[in-house]
Amino acid sequence: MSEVITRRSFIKKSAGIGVGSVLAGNLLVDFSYGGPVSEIAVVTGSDYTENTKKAVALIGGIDKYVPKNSKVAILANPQSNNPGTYTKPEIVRAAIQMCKAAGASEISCIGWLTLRDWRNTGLKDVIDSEGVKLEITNLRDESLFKKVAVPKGIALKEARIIKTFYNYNILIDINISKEHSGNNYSGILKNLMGMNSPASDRTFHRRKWHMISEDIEHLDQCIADLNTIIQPHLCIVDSTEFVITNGPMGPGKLLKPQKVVAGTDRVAVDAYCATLFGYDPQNILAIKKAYEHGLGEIDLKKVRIKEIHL
Amino acid sequence: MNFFARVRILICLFICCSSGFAAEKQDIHKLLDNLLPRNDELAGWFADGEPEAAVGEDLYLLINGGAEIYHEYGFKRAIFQRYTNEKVGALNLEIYEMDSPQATYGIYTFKTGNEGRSINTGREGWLESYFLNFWKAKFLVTITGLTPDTDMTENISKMAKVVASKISGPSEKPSLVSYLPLDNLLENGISYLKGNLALFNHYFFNTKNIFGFIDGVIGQYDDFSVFIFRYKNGEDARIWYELARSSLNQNTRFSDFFVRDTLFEMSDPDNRRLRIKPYQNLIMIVLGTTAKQADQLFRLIEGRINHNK
Repeated sequence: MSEVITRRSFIKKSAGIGVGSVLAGNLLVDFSYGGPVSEIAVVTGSDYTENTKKAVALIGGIDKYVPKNSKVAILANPQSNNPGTYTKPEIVRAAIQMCKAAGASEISCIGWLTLRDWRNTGLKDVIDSEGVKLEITNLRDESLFKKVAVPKGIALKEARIIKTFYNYNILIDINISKEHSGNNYSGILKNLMGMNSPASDRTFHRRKWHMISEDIEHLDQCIADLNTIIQPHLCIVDSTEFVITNGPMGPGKLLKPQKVVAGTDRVAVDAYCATLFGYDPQNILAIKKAYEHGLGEIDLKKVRIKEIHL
Repeated sequence: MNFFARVRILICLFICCSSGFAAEKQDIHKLLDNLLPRNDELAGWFADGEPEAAVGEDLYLLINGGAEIYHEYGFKRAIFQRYTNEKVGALNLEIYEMDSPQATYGIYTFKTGNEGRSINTGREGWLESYFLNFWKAKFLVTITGLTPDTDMTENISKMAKVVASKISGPSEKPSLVSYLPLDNLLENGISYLKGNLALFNHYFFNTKNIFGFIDGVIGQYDDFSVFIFRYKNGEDARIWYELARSSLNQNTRFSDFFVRDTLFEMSDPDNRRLRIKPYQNLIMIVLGTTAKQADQLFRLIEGRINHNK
């Protein structure tokens, strides 16, 4: 716990990798978690917008992650409109407002879920009222997805990432933590499936897309593999209110810790959020496999957790 | 038969299959649309936009990874409709058609917890804080209140009764359920399983399918649980028992493993004792009891099996 990535070196490293990767046609390849110290912020309170802004402030402020004139893609989760299953609009609004304040030149919410999903969750209203873009990729048109090799993939050898993503140089991943019937827990790591084509996502579940009960781990391995080719610059998790049964779509039993969690080490962020469910992160296979890929720290004793209540 | 004749037959088969599938997709609106409440059946409530529907594999497009568990139980098709009431708020209505009443019962037990209350709607209407599930014949119905801080339960219950009145057909539960001891069984404490994914969600033995059952049932009691897995015959049950014993013996999550008489036992990470025993075409598991209690439960289950034959 001796070396900390400085703001300047972080931006330099991010920018360099971003440009190089775009040229290589594979944004942020190999930008695995490299710091010896993982740091996450956890803010508890009933005002979720404030929680979000404070959480990002605690890990250095938005300027550290969104340089001036950045083109920012925000990956939120509008999957279902049942309570506790989608990223809350207040949290996305806070992220957008922070990016604006940091001087981002372009801000868009991206994904392949339908306009109906964005409307039903209230996220479309936030996007419109903040005057930013919503770039929805037609999920039935495979030509809108870019084939990307997954060199470190154990189960997943090729991903198909939405092409519009490559128009941006900063990715902010904002998911809700929730129960998932396929692998117990859904968080930051799993949210990247929202950028991968549904046709490819189906293969995470093997034959066609059906889960083969002999191989439940295949889904988790694919999630971890997918994360080896894309590294969000900033991860924000909505752990304010979420389903702990019947995920990912709900309706289910709700837990309301009123927490927003932020960090860059997605393994640590997910590991922390999994504990809110009472899970040992070692038992959440996607988190464990991402850790085994070297994508971050699973042992929360080795993570610097800055936690406050508002 | 010459080559061209074979090609003609293949083309005909393709056309028949394609048109059959298309017809099935159209039928969904004929069948499932009829189950949706009309605007005149629920005062003040109106359908908000067109319903969304899915047949077979397309459920993935509607609910993504959430579709897996429905397919494990035997999913056929579904229709979703959102309703709004300008004074009250919004409701989601989801109707799933499964391939048998037993499959429907199974997904019902998967989706319902034991925190809620019974309501007299359909089979086993179960109302939780902001949502309701019931099953009837081959249909699972889920209604969810979407307006925070508003008590929607009365509106949810009214809608449920309207939908239930439109469904008919036999609603038999799987026979396996009758093998569970009834004393101290928690209300809504039964889960019926059709595969390893449902089992994985209830209890983590292994991500691999080490039990390989045809179907199974879990009963939750005050401080212990009972699992019963069913196989085609006694020989299959014995083979899977041996495979599970070998696998669990090597699994570092479990400790204090040993075999006694006709069963084996071990402790799980929460220091609860598991005892696993084959009987006829079944494997029985008792979790969280003493050896004496487990033996009593095994005898009780065996008695119920023989009584229900």
